[in-house]
Amino acid sequence: MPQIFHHSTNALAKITIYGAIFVAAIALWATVELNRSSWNTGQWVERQQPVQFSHKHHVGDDGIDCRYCHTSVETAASAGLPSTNTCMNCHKQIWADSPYLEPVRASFRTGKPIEWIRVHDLPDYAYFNHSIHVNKGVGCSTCHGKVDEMPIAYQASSLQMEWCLECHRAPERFVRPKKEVFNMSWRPENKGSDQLAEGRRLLTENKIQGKEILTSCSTCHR
Amino acid sequence: MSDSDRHINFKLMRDHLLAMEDGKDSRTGKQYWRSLEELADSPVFQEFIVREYPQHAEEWNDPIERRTFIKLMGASMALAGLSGCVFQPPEKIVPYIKQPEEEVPGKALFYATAAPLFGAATPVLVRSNEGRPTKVEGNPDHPNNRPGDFPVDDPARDPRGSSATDIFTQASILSLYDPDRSQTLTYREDIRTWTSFVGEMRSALDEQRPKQGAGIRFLTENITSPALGAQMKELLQALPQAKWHQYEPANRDNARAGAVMALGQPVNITYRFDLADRILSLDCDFLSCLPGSLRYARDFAAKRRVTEENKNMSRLYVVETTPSNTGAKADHQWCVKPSEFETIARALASGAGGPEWVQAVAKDLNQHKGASIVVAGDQQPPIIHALVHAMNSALGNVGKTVFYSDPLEVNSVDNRESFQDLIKDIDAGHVELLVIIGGNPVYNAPNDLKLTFERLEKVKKRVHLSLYKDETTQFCHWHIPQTHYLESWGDARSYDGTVTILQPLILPLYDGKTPGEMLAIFSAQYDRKPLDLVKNYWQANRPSAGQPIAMQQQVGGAPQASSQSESARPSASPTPSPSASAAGDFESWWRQTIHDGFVPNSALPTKHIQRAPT
Repeated sequence: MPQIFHHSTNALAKITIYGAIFVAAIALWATVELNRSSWNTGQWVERQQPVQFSHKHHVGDDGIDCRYCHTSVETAASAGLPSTNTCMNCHKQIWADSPYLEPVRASFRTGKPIEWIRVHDLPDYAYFNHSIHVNKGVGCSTCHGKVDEMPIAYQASSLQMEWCLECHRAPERFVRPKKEVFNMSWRPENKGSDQLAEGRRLLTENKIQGKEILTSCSTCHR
Repeated sequence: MSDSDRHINFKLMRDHLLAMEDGKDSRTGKQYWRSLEELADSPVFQEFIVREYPQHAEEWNDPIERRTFIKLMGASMALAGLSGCVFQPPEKIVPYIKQPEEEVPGKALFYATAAPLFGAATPVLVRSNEGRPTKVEGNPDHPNNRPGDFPVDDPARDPRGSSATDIFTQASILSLYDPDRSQTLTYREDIRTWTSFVGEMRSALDEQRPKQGAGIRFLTENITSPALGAQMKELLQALPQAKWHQYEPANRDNARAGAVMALGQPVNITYRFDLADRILSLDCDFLSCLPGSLRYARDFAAKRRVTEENKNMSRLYVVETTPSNTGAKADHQWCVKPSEFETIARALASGAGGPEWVQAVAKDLNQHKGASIVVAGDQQPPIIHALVHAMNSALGNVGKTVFYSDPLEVNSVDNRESFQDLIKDIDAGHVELLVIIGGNPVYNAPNDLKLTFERLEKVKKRVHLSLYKDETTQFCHWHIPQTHYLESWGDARSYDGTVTILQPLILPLYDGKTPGEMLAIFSAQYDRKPLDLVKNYWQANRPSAGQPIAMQQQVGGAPQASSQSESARPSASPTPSPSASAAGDFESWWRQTIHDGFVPNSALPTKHIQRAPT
């Protein structure tokens, strides 16, 4: 009985099988890359705000402390956005006529609040509390990047779960002394190999929970 | 088949049966039938056979079939899941213009106030999220909940005190946001302004003033608020002919009448269940249905818990006509017919007669003189209450486990009598302006004293202040929306008389008015604000530290000679006195009092009352 398929079709079959694996792998890789891309996470995307507010100017040039505006960062889950009144504390006096600040003045005049666009939006199923992080020695710049160099605020981290766990699994790599929390130029890399030893000391000093607690599901997904 | 069909067919059936008897029936063979309808073979019955499901038959012919429906719904469900995959729209953050003091977004604030219910108030601590009250819990700092009396190893012990509340208090937050609440001020169902209402009341008052207010009647619920009571008295002094009536449907008239019968005056009774070894309840559900039952339940549980210090638990006897929570907790419980209740109570009081167990109970009580409590339920007639007073007196409990003080009400009256007087005056045509503050008397007045429309027509002007537009509103010209207690300034007494100053957690949602504002219209300063009304009263009547206030109680016909005030409740643990500052510093006293949720040393002083000879 003659064979149905010619001998050369073997090659075709092989190419198809290898190809299928290869195509599946590429598809998987593309999915993972897309998932981590800023298209999905919103990382590096500059958000246009109703007021052209520059963190670079206020933090970098003027040296205003984070807590002057984000008042509840040490006490509440949300860091808090400043009330219009806080802006006007200074801008009654300086740049009082600037057209850029008209939305702020309008809000103060009319009593209608400024509607800022949220830059860091965590999913609702993740519980996040600013105060616990700040009080345990996680600096602002660890998550928010070099805010003092951002003319327009953007999200410096992916805010994905793998990124959270990077620190929750090994906090000693990132924690800093409490007095450096609001220091924008503090970097774990600057400490070099000292960081790990220093970090372990800070774990006990700041009473940071063990990894079992930090990586437990219900710590963040309450 | 419905009964009406059968009725219609009756004639048809009879004709048919008669025809069969006469042998005129054309059908041959044996005829079997299962019902008279079938025998009569009426058109209705034929239709009934044709349509097996006469009520729902059309649904089977519906163009949307069951399968189509499930297909569509299945697709919808699947597509609904897809919506979780889209990008979320950008969110906005809207901060304050001027951030309120102490307000941190995301953090709740707690305010002390009190939830009034049938006169007596429950001290509460209310949670407020971003300016909205969200949850009501008990105030653990309040002397009613004070920790000193709870055993050290009490698992529920809070370092401050108990924060228990009852179901009514828990539910009271819902009535604040109830969309059925009355939202507008109306005159004959037309929306009007508060100023037009005040204007009309002022002109009515001008008419009444020469007659000393002879045509004005106020109908309120039982008032325990000292400030409101003082306002009412001031008003009645200015208009001596005007009258104030109090009526509540679920009142405590029987208890009051019993006290008058036995002691010669109305009293407020408080109990110490943690000091009682034997308790006899005569149809009284004191664990859930008395003012102060939260505290009583706590005290009762404390005595029942056997610890190193407390070796003997108390014993509870309950004789009741209806099963109750207290009966369920009893060691010995007997169900008694209402008709036999008085006989049993008398037997218990005398220790003779009645069933066998009566003597056993009476004997047990007698062996625990001064450490027992007898309580009577509000629904029992006055004679039972009088008997209970006699029993407590004979057992030496008064002053040890049972304490008398002046009534919580500013002016304690017999509700039914008071209401009856009002009806008489209305029928006689004496009433020209009727101001109903709270309550719904048209709906819940007793049948022989109904406030019918015909009766109310004799009153020229009728005004109703209430949370809801109800039956009484329908029969009144003016309706004023009332404020919820979480929107009002005010004051109220808890079961032992301790005063809490009510503070609002939110501005009135529907422009409601407090009873105080309503009464102020009829006084010289008609535009006083609720805060000023309460604050001014307490500025004048602030109790000095360490000395309880002797409220201007008007005890009807009370033999003052036989009542003697004691300095404080003997059990009162020293409460931290926030008013330690200089006597003149009212402002700091006021702030501290509002913060703590109670006026220190304001519990009604215990009275020693000689039992009136009966």
